[in-house]
Amino acid sequence: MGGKNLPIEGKGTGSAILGLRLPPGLTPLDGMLFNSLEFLIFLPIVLCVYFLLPHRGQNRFLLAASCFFYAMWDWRFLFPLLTSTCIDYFCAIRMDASWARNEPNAARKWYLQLSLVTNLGLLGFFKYYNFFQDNFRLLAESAGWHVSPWTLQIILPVGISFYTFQALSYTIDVYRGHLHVTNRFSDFLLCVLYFPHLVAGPIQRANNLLSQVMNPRQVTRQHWVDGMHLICWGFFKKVYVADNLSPLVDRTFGQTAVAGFPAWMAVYAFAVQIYCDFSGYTDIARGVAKLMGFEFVLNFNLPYWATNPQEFWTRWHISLSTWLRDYLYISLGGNRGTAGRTYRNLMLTMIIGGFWHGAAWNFILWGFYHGALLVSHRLASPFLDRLFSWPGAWGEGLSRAVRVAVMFHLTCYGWLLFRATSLEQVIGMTRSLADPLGGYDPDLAWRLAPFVLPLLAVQWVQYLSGRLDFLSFRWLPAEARVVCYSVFAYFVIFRGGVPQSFIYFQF
Amino acid sequence: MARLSTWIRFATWPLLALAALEICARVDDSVTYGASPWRNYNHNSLWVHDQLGQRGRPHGQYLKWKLNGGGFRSPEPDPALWHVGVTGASETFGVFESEGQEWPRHLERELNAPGGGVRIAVDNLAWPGLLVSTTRRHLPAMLAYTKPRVMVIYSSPTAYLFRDVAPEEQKTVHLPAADGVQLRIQARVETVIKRVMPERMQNWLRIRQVAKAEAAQKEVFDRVPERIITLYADDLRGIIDDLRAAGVEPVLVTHATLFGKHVEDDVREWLTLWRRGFPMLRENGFLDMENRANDAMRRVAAERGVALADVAARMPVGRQYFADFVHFTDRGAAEMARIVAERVACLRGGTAACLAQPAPGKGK
Repeated sequence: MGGKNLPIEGKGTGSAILGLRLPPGLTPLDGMLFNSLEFLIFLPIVLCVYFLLPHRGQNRFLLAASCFFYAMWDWRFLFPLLTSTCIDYFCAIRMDASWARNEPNAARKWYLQLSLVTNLGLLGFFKYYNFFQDNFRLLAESAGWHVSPWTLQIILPVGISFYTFQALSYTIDVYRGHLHVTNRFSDFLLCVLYFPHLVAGPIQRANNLLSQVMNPRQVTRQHWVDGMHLICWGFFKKVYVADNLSPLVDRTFGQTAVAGFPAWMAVYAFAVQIYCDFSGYTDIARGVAKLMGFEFVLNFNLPYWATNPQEFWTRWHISLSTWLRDYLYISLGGNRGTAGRTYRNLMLTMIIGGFWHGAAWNFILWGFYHGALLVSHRLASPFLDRLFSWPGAWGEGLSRAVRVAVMFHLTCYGWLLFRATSLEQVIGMTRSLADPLGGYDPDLAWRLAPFVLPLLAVQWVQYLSGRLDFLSFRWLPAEARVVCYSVFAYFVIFRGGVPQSFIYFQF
Repeated sequence: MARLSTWIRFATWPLLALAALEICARVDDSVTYGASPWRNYNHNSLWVHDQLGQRGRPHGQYLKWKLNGGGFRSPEPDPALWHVGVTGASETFGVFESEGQEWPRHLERELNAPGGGVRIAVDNLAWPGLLVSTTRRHLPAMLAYTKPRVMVIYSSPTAYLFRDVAPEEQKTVHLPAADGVQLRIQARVETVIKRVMPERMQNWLRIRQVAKAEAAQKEVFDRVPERIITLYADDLRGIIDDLRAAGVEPVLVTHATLFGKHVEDDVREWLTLWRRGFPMLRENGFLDMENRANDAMRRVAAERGVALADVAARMPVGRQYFADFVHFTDRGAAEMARIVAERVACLRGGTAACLAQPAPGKGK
């Protein structure tokens, strides 16, 4: 069990200093992270060429650039991607034709099944084969049978979990009649391969992205202002906050026994790290797409300000949670049956969502934990609503603050399950958390403060103002904006931690 | 006119950005290191110059380097403890190691390992570029401040290349000019550029710098002249005598490098980097100089009956132990301390008893 044992998608780390992941000398590039020197060279070139071309040329060029971007990880990874994309395109065309002929659902079902089997088959093989094989071996050995299963050294294609879900959304939407197909294969291919979202999302539904690919895009000054703001803020979260917290988290989770106070600090730090790492990546992806006139869906909306588990999942990894809701939870029956069936559907959806994150038991446990939170919240919500309905504006504010704090701590415990390297560690750290002042060391809290407090301050303003784009500083004169962005640049360039891969690249 | 004012407005943006970055750097130094945001902040904060030459500034601080009241990179000496002094150059002072990971600190931890008996404090009495001859000048002040029972000498022969040229001139760290306003952001930008620049390009630039510096030399050696090695050996004899006269037992430590006995191709570029500081000696002369200086030290140790830790022979080589040609990584510093500790620990039983023991690792 444990994320540590996960096969990391892609490969290579390279030498890494001061916020930039560097190529060792001028050796061939190995993967193109957003926080790498390679990407900082790649992006301006792509943008320059992009704006010189007409719409169709832009699409063809972006397709070529996306293939290059993906091939930088490993060109062999292109084959499973292209295979599944071809089959999805073919299936969608046939399903659309079937809709046009008003044929019964059964005629389309076969093509949907073909698409599902192909996509989930590839995902299952690359991501879960070794997990099932290892567990089968353990189970057989515990029953006294000796088995020598077929061991494969499988390299997980980077981003397979993301592009599989993206491609599936297309075929399912066409099957349901929610979407008309495109007859241009290159448009669909670009939809799946478009480099900003390819390796770690946000998961773009075809119904959002396809029309943007097919129609000419208008890029305004506002796109650039918003895009640059997202990129700056994304880099700040990833390079300054997440990468600086990473050593502290790794150190604590690398120990066999941890006292209560350091355990709390590590869990808090990981909660902030994983949020900044993933939402930072998403912000950069959204920002880069904006520079080219694309609009990606919002993926994070101040998740730690949620007051209950249901609200949390409308704020955290929104593109995944809505995907799971629309294509899994509703397919399972959603809340259309009895209360018992609804709870079962919720649990199944969350467990599968947890398993999507990685082939390890701790992700299943994490999914189970969040499913249990959702079910418990549904059961207890009448009681909780009464409990927290405090009179007056102050009472309402205080009640909200208490609920946010409780939900944040419940989420943090979930992150412990997510990050732990063994079941023993989960049990040991859970015991330690019960004694929050054990091993009290104020220095530890002070070490977290420079990374957590700026984030908290910004989010506080975003939360109160309800404006996530607060940091675009549109309300400031241009000179003041230059100063603000310079401050961001300082923290990213000169105070960034030792660069780490994006955590969600492993999913 | 409107067009001109727009251009003027745009032109102020880089200046505003520079000012913002500089203020950030100053606030950052102030918050992180307690540096004054108003004064220049550089290596000068660590040093003073008096009639003896350069020495550590009492309570000086610059970035991770913090000096005690005596101007040494150590905690304040506790008179209740048994003190071991360690002297040498930048390898001992500590350059690339994380704070508290320089080898004298590791040595203290090694010597105080469980079952070690009396508590021992290790005083780091080194600073960059310190020669054995210069150490002798500062010795009375060092001994008076820390009162050590044992003094470990880990000296670098390289700086003797400068001593030969101008005997009274000591090669010290390059200090930026103290006067005038210095932009703190400049050093940061240079560091980032250096780190972002591919290794091959950096090496090409170094080769050019070395060629330029070589052209400015009066004499360039293929091999260090014997007189420099003799000078080095004489200084070692001198410091041994000085220490013994003060009742302090010396321990000599041979000098280790990234390269070990041979220069492998994958680390050859580090030799160029080393040479950049000493352009009067060609690359192939460095290892020869190290070997001869270490042999001279072994001879002096045998001749004077001094305990010797032969780190040069026992230290593992490679980039995991050395951050550059001679400076240690955290792991290298720990390894170095482990080897030295074996020799220092045995001195507790008396010098004669210690010398009677075979040197650890000998014959391997």
